[in-house]
Amino acid sequence: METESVKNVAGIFKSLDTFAILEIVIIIAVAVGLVWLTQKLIPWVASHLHGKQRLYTLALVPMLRIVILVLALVMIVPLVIEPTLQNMVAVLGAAGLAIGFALKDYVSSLIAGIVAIHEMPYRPGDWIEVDGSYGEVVHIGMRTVELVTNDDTVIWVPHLKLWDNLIHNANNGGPSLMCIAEFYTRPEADAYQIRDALEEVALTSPYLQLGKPIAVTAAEQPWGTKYRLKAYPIDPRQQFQFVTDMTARGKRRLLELNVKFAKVESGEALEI
Amino acid sequence: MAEAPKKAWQWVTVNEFERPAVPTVITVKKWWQNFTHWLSPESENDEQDEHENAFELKLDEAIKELDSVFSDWLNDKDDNSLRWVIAPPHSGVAEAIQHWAQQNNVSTMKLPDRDTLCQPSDPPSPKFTKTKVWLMPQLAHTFLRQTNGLRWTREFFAEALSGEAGKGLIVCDSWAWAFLEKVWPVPVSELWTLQGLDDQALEKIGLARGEGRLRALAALSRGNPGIAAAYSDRYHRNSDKAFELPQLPQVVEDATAFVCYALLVHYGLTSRQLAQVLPIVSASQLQIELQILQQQSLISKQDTASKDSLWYITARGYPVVRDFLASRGFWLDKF
Repeated sequence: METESVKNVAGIFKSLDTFAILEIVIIIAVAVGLVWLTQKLIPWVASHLHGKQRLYTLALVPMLRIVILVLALVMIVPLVIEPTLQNMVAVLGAAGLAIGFALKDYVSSLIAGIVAIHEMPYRPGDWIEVDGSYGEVVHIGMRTVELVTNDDTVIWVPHLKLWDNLIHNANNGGPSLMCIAEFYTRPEADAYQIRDALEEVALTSPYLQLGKPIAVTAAEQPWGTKYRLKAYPIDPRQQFQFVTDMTARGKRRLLELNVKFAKVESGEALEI
Repeated sequence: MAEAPKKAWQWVTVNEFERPAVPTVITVKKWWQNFTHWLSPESENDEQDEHENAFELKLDEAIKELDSVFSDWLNDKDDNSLRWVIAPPHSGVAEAIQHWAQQNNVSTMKLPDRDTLCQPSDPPSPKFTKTKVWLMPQLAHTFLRQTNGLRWTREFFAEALSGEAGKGLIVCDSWAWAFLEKVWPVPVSELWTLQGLDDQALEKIGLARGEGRLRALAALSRGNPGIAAAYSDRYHRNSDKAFELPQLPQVVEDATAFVCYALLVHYGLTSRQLAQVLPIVSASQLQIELQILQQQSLISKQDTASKDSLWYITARGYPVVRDFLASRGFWLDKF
């Protein structure tokens, strides 16, 4: 009986001759080579582009990789097993059991990676925040997504986070990324005068995307008034320089208008 | 009845403006040139003295044609409306309008001193000769893109569009206009420009010979006669040699793009004014960018009445700079 079941399991697999092994090795080598090539060539081309063109080119990398790997798998499976329904159920069942016990998180990340390519919560070139880490997506791997922060620190976030974490995407595949410069003034300052001055500051920034709107909002706080100047840079990668430019020139302009900035003493700050 | 032959110089409203068609073969050649430039950027640049060999543009016909579109308006004493003329850099439009205005006794408005525009104190106001037709010779020279630097232009728009300023003709560079449409977003009527010169028009004004050459010149210049003239070397008008475009510097940074864009939007700036509109770029970096761009023949300087020279994008560099700014997502003009 035991011998018969061993025979049944062995019957699932084809006997591999040297030619079949060679064929599998060649398929794997070509697939890996193509993936490597796309991962090098496409980002290189994208590095010479800007705006939309750069983002759309970068988005091709994970898509092409998944297409290449699926094609390779489709070509290899019939070489290893007899592709009948019974055999597929048996192999997938056994694989599922092994994965369920031993490699749950790893495989979950791999599957989340495939879902990420389909749903596109992030693409290369997007600026995302996951678990408090904010950075640009530079690479979407099989298991992780690679972010580079403004401080040039690389963070690898497993795709697994996609299942139960909030993903904040600042530009969502496009070149539009809203930047906010904040100003804090004493409550008696003229809000409309400040709004007009800050709008002018954004309009005259060389980083401004002129096709997008500029907005200023004000909110009253216990220590004064908080203004938020919202505008879009030409390229998402300029966001920090853009905010710096708006902050520096905004402060200078408000000082020219004799606006008093709000200051919170250390004791008061602790209370707040 | 046979249709009258098309004139080389035609004044049309901006909505009627047509850019010459770009043949597919030229588009493909351009992609190929860009691709090969990526692979092996050339460090050497054949600097040519464009003033030496460039074809001299004669604007007499264009000035004559202005009579046919503006003379009725000019002579109608009951018509107090405004006329706006928008044109890309180097098109010769501003010069043509100034000649026409002189011929027709139209008084030219005094431009503000751009060096004092950003001072926090109240700037001088626009002064209109309300009893007489006036000409604003270049609206692009009335502002600096900096906080406080737009007040004179805003006041100009407010007064001119309210009808209080009387009858006037306003000339504005197309890049400045694209920016000013955001500063004062009121649509204006009677917006005129020079029709894009296609291959036939270019042949009529004697810029090149041979159908292929003419089409290529029309496509490269986007119908701008000044740019076409700059590429129509008087000794190589019959040649099939490809146009030699200046190259961008090997390393282009944000500052490079900002300098090019600022020079276009302001229709030229002095070094001091450039430092005022780009405080985020250090003074030394600005000088470096100016020198590199000058070496590549993309910009040049022109002596002015004041001690500072005016930097501007050269006619030969303009197609390259325009493509460069387009690839970086900058807000472009409509021409």
